[in-house]
Amino acid sequence: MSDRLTDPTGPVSATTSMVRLEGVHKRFGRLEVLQGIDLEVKRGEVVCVIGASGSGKSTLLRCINLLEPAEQGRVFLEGVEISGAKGLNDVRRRIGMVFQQFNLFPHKSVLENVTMAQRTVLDRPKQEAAERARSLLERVGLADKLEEYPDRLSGGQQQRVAIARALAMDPHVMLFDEVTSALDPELVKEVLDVMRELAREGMTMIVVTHEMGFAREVADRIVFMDEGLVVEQGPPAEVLDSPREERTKRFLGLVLEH
Amino acid sequence: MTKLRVMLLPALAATALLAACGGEPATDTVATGDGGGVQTIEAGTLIVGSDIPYEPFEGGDAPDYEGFDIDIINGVADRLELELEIIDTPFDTIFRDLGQDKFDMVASATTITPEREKEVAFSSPYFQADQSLMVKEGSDIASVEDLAGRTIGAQKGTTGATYAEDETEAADVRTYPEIVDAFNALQNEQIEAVINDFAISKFAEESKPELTVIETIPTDESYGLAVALDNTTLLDAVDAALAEMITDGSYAEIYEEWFDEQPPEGFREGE
Amino acid sequence: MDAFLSQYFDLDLMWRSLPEVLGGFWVTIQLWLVASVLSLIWGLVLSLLRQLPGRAAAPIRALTIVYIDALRGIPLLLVVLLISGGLGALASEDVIADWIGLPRWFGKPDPFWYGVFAITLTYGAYMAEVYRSGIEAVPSGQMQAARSLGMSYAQAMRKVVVPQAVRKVFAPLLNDLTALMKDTSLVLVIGLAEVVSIGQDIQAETFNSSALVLGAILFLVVTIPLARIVDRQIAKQQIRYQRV
Repeated sequence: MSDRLTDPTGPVSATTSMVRLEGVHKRFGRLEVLQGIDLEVKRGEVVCVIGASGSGKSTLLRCINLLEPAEQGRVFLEGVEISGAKGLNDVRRRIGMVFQQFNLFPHKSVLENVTMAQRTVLDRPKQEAAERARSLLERVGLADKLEEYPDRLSGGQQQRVAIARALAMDPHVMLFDEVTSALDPELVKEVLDVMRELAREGMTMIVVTHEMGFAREVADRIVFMDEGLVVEQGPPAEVLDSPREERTKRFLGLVLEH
Repeated sequence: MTKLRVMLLPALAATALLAACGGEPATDTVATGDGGGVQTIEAGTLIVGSDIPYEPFEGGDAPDYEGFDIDIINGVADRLELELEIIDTPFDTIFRDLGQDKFDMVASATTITPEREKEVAFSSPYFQADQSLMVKEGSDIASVEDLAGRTIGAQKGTTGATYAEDETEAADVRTYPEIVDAFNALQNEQIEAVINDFAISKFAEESKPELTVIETIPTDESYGLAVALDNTTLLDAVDAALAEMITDGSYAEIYEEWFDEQPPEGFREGE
Repeated sequence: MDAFLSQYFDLDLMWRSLPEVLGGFWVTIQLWLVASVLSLIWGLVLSLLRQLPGRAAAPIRALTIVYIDALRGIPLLLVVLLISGGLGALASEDVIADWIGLPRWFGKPDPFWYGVFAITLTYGAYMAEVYRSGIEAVPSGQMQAARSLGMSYAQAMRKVVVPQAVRKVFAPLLNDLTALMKDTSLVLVIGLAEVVSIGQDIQAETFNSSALVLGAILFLVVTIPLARIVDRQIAKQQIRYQRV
């Protein structure tokens, strides 16, 4: 029973590239949300994506785990192309996602939320799934809430369960879609703490966020998006303190430092 | 107990509302008709209830119904100097409706029975009827005795239904709102026999060639025209009209047209 | 007033005809239970077919919509008559086997099963629309979360979306089941001896309508408690969702 959130002995491919997007376009009706994204995230990297609403950040994440199929361009996971592939379910279990609205299953208990996909998708026996769930929930500080239903938890607690639920599948990369934006301010820290821990253990993470303090502290790289394109990217100190592009400067000027 | 009463109240109220449309039994305070001093619900018109279709006694489409009964009541209305209005009505509630003054008279191939005579008044018989046993060709049923344990059909509220239930050993007697439904079920082999008035079943053979009447069940039944129990003036007038139609041969004419043969004794011209 | 009471509330006749009327009501109940279960299942199947994702499934979706429109657009009485007449004719002409065209399964007469078919086909269509509204009321994030965990569309529907959808539409479904129970009487037109038919036959024999009133009371014994259960469910749901 691992003390960590992640399983370091899990199977990973030899290549260091975890996620790569090449020329990804995505359109909703007439609206072109992604206008040609090229991005690579290496194994163990923590990339924070920042930008205004409507810049395409959420869509970017959904194109990575193929919840939204890209119209144009290619997506690679660990060096293997996954865009247009069959067997998407198998691909998706290697990519964990945490949502702004938590999306816990309200008709299931906390424990059941974390074991359901393990049993259905990974065919893990009930005992094993429950033990993995228990240890994860303990690590995120919710060992005493196993039998509770989501509607009795605070937002911060629900989000931590959501993280545990995604981690239970032993993903190779984790996607975070503004996971603290819907939380009351006093609940944000507990979630960010868990994410910090994850980063420390070497999980590859792509984090869409407004939390600049967190980004500065934890990110290996910051990517700034605007109007469906990657405008600028680089180490946090660079992008946040001395951005090159006009649009980046304007955005950062508008965003208050937390 | 209070809760039960509270629950029953809406039930009673609902049924009360529904039945209130029924009205009181016939009284004498109706409009005076024009013909022969007979009182009818609507002055100058004889309103007759009939379950259509029941060929060859009544059939066709409104307002030009056709049939033996139709011709007979046309003759009666003429002699009473009344207009005729026919209302298509389900058979199993036809006597109740008569009692509730929905019409003056019922002409619907209606058998005179002692039970019915407690509820309505019948004219003198105007048709001699028997029951019949009808099967589909290829059936192994040859007589009423063979009906033991079988599934058979009849029309709701008819003497055929009563006969099927009381006088046969059939396991399942299905009653249908219209006799045509029973014929269809027989055609589809969903039932194995139909017990119904001879004339009707015989007539149905024409349009349903695979169905045959294999036995006449003599039941000594007669048809009568029915009026409300206390409507003696109308009843007398109707009887008089019928008697005249028999005597002057118009009855025989109508009978021959629909049944291709002379009427039985007692109904021929001059009698 | 006396005449009215004796015509419709002849307690002595009600008592004497009680065994027969109860027998008919038992047929009603059986028809109701069987058709209800089948309609609930068929309705769910229809609603899922109607929502099948993907371009390849477009003809299935279209056919399902046509079916639902048709069965909701034709009176149940007509469906009963057509099923009974149609299947019977096909069976008697040996186009289809007798066991399906003249179904007498488990000792129940064929009008019973024709009734089950007709009601299931029709009420399934109504319930499909109820299920659909339930499924659409489940937030899309649920499906996204399930799929992002690697669950297939079918798994996500089965374990996440449908259970929530059904809970949401519990009350409207119960309402449909109550309506279904009342509609079972329509099957009397093809000769089924259910409670209204029995009441009519007694009425014709005795010239008294009390057996029909007795039948009405028996219906209320079932439908009124059902209505209260529905009310309680709706109240429970209100309380639950106030927390959000």
